[in-house]
Amino acid sequence: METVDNEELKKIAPHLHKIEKKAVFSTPDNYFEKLPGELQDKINARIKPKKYWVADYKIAFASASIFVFIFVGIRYYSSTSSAPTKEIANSEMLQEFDTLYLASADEIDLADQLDDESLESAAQQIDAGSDISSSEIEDYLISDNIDIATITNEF
Amino acid sequence: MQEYSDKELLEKFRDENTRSYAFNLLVKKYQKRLYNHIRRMLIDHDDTNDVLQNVLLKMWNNLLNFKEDSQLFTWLYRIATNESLTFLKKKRTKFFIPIVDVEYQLSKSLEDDNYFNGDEIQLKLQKAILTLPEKQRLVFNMKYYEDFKYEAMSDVLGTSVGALKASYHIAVKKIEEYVLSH
Repeated sequence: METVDNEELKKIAPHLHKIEKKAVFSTPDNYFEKLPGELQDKINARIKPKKYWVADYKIAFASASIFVFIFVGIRYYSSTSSAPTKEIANSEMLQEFDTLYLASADEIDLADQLDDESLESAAQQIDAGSDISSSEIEDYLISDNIDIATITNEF
Repeated sequence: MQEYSDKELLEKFRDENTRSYAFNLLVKKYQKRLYNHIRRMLIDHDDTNDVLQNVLLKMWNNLLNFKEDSQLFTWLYRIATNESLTFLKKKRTKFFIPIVDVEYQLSKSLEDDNYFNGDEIQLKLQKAILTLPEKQRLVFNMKYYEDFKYEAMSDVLGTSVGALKASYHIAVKKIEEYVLSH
């Protein structure tokens, strides 16, 4: 294959060889003086927002972590400390209820709440549900020499 | 201003404290050659400016990974060539223009270009060059205007020296015919 240098160019393309080689393309004024600065500006504009974004992202992530940590901490603290509070509140309420209602109500008052019929039916229920017969109780009292008055006083 | 070698500039670029300084020097060193290389392919100044800035920003982004197996200017030319070809391809697909019509449009735009200083014969030559297929046009411009060695062209374009010689020879013949017939 034929190679082309200047001499050969003259031979194979005499018209082309005659055309003067010159720079035909120009640029706006000071184009090459301004270009390095323009590029540096673009690079800085690319880098700075990215850095800012990275820093911002880190701050946001750290803030979110702290927030979650505090939130979880508060939740944990409230869940572990709220039960005793409730218990204390409940016992205080019971004491108050006791003082207000139970302490002031004597045994007579309570007995008065039950009429005779209900007492009888309760006795029947006890008798019916019990395996011990009246005669057995009587035998027990006699054998152990327990006076009926003692039972009445003690129970 | 002190003229640094590519090796020295690369060392300065690797140092974060002198990176911007080295980048500025590299831009100043190569901007004109790269501009002319791209401009001969794209013709229009604004398109050339866009592509050149992309090339130089790619240099900024990738220079730390540059391995000194090849020369820096070869590497930069390769980026510039690829970016130019990609730009032309995008232009075609964007406006649904057939290959031949892009070159025709570039040829027409030369006549109205405020930044074209050539006379009639220079205009004719540029139009002749624009009739060549893209890669042949690249080869012709690099050899005829930039006086590239075939070996260096081979590194940039990834084509064998023999194929480049043949391509240039054919391009010269075509241009000669165009100049004669127009």
